[in-house]
Amino acid sequence: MGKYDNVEGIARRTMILFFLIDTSNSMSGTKIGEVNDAIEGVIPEIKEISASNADALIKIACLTFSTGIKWMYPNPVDVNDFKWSYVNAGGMTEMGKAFEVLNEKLSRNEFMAEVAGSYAPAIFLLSDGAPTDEYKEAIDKLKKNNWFKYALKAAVAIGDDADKEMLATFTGDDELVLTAHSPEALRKVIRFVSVTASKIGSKSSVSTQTNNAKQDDFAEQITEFNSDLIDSQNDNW
Amino acid sequence: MIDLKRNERIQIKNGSKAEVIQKIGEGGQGAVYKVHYAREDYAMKLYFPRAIKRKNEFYANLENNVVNGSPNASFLWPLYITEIKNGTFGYLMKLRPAGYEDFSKILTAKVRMDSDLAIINAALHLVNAFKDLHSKGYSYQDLNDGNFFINPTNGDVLICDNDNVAPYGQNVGVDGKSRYIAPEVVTGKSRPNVHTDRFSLAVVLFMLFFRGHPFEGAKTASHCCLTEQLEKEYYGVHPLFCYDPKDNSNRPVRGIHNNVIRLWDMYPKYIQDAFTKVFTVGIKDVNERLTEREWTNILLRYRNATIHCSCGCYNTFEDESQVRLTCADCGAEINRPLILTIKKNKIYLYPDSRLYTYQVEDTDDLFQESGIVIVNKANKSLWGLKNLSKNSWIVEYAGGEQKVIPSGGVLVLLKGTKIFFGNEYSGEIN
Amino acid sequence: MIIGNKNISNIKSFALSQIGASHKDYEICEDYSGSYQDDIMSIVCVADGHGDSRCVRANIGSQIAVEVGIQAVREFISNQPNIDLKDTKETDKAFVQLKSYILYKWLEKIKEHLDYNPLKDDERRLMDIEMQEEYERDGTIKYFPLLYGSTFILACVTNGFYFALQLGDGDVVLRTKKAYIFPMPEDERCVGNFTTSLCNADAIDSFRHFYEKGSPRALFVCTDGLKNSFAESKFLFLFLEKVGENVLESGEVKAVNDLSVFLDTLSEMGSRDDISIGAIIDIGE
Repeated sequence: MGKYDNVEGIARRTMILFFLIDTSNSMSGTKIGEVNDAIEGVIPEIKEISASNADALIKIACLTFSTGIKWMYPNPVDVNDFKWSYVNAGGMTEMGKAFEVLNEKLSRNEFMAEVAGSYAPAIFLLSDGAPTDEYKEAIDKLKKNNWFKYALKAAVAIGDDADKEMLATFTGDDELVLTAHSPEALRKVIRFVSVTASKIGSKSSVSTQTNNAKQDDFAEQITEFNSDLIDSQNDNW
Repeated sequence: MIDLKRNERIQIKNGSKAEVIQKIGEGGQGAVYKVHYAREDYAMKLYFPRAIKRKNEFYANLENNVVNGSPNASFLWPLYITEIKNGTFGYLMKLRPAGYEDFSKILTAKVRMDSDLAIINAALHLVNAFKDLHSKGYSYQDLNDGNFFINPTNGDVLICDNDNVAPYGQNVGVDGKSRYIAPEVVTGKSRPNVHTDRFSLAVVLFMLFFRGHPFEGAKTASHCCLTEQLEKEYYGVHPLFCYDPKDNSNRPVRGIHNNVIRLWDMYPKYIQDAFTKVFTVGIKDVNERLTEREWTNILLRYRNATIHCSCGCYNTFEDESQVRLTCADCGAEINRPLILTIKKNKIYLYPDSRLYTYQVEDTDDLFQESGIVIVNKANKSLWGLKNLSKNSWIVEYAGGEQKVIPSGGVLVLLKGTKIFFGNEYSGEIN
Repeated sequence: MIIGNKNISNIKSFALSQIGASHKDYEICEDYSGSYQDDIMSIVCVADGHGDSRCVRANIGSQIAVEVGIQAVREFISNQPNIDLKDTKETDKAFVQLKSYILYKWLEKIKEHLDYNPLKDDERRLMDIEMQEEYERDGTIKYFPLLYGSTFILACVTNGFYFALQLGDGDVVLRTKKAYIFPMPEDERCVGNFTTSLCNADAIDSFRHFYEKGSPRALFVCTDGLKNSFAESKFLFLFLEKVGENVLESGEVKAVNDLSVFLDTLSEMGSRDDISIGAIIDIGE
């Protein structure tokens, strides 16, 4: 009997993919239908990445916001166990509240508690319209959160009336705001950001003050993707 | 030493008794208590019996200081002295008001100065305090980062431990901390005096601006411990300025002296030159150490050329040949604004820039304001100078037209304008 | 596997590194470890060279860090036998000087290494474009420390007191009579898989330390590959307890061997990263 035969609690490092989804009134109908489809459709691909990437376990946390906010599950779920739960649209766009709640959960005492859950998360914001609540203070607070600072971030602006400038304050870079003008484009975008983030997210990095190689890498790939996407858009919303 | 208890009473010389409220602190020399005396609350410093070497001399000097009064509002000065009892004595001073932070906290970035303007004003207050101290014939003798406090918002300074201030030429047995005290004191060649004060002042100013020590660099970092002997060597016997132009062997090291490396280049050459002079030729030749007046002129020149970017950051034009600067915070390009020249003052006229009273009247107060540059609400590109003083100004525009700007009035900033402030003070905008 | 150890009296100290499961393809272990023991002091030290692709010589950086660190602390203890821990201002000042010295020496040694070993083509290709251009133009790089970037953790037990120094991620774990704790103050910039580093321009600001009077029951230093292999801190502590027990039960040599075999498995099943552990264990208690 070896001394270390019964060591408990061994676990793989995890990376959390956050989806923040606007489920306000303007999203109802085709838009929310396509969001549901697109994310449900991308889950199997993320499962594949998690399986082939021995270095990290990918978990999903999903938050919907309209009038008030709701977490799909109380804690981030291993992608292999994750089942997408269809969301409906209706109500206001309380994005500020969503940011507040995200800030709370991005802490060692909350979602980032697992010692092995140590890769910087990826956070995606999907929205079509401007926030109806006071979001500026919430975003400023969020920006001071170190987990948020080092996270890979992207926003998907759904449809033409999305406030892209506002979404860029979330991502910190307007190149990380992608626009989806059609259901097909939305599917492509969601798939691309999830897959890219999962691949890039799980590598170790030096914290230099001005340089974030991973975010730069992410931004580069997104920009390339975005320019390809623009060519094949058509206004369908 | 047993602490004094609440309600215990101490006899004040030539007065009644002070009553102890509570202990508020302790240092190497003694303890500080909050006391009640003559219907007011004060801080009382009471020395440990063994702390003072030449008691009679010290007591006499302290009494002298009480009688002569504080040279300057920045000093937390001894107001009343106690009787000698049980081999010891103390003195009363005002309680330290709120809002002031330990200088050592600012040095280690536990507290940040609110702005570059606050840093300049703190420097001016410090220099001012010393000027007033020295003009009364005193020298401080023990300036170091434990003695003073700065208000990070406005740069107000409060200097404490004034019990060892003594008339120039006399010394009350204080040797000073080797990192601040002049080299000739470290090596024992001289006792503390006004010249050594000026050296310490330069060290403190350097630390305020660059958050590092002028004699620390590659040489001091190359030892695992700084023994007493090494300290004496680097701060006394062979001090080498970290930016000595002729010898680069003690340059600040990246990774260790990051603040100095980053901040040194942010200040104009005339400020760098001032520090270089004190810390090279000024080591051996005490007359090469900048006087308070010389520091004041340099700091005022710097403050005059400092403008307040709309993002909140303060930036400074190096000299008149600089036509543009980039804001250090937001990156905005700012062109050199119009400059108002009054005697030796070159005041850069940018929104929120101040016209100080000393520039337009005879006064020693360097902080009182007589004017401010404001932006026209209807036309943002139109700037004016608002008269905050009680006097009217007479303005003569380039075309010859004259106008009176009363107190509260605003004159539009135009090139070629002459302003007459009264009493031989006049300026021109270009 | 790299080991360093020595036994004298009741204090056993050793340090070892195990290459990570995900690094086996490249055969380079970026972690390094070392230890030193004599009549007066026990020192263990580990360092984790960054996996960031720009840090092309991280494995050299971590090795130099450990060698420089141990040497510096030996000098420190010899030159300063009587630290008055109650004078916290002076004690902290002394530690700041020691940390500055370690940074100074590390920079000196990696500069030497770069001077004697110019960059090869395959190394240059991995650097930032600006750095590549600078190297082509000037034959040197101003910010070359990034190439050798590494974390640094050192623990020392000596007469009358013990202390640890840390820059970057990884952990110092202290076993007191009652419990296991993390005695180091936190570095809030070590978040996710980001870490502060010996190569940072403001390295001295992130360089932490702690010290205590007396002698600990056990003091461990480990690179983040260890903690990241466990779901929670309590499992890490349970594991370290077994490490200590094994030394007591089976003696040091066997304990180190068992550990090095297991670390291979642990990396495989857990963090996949290089893992280093340094331990100073008092078997007398």
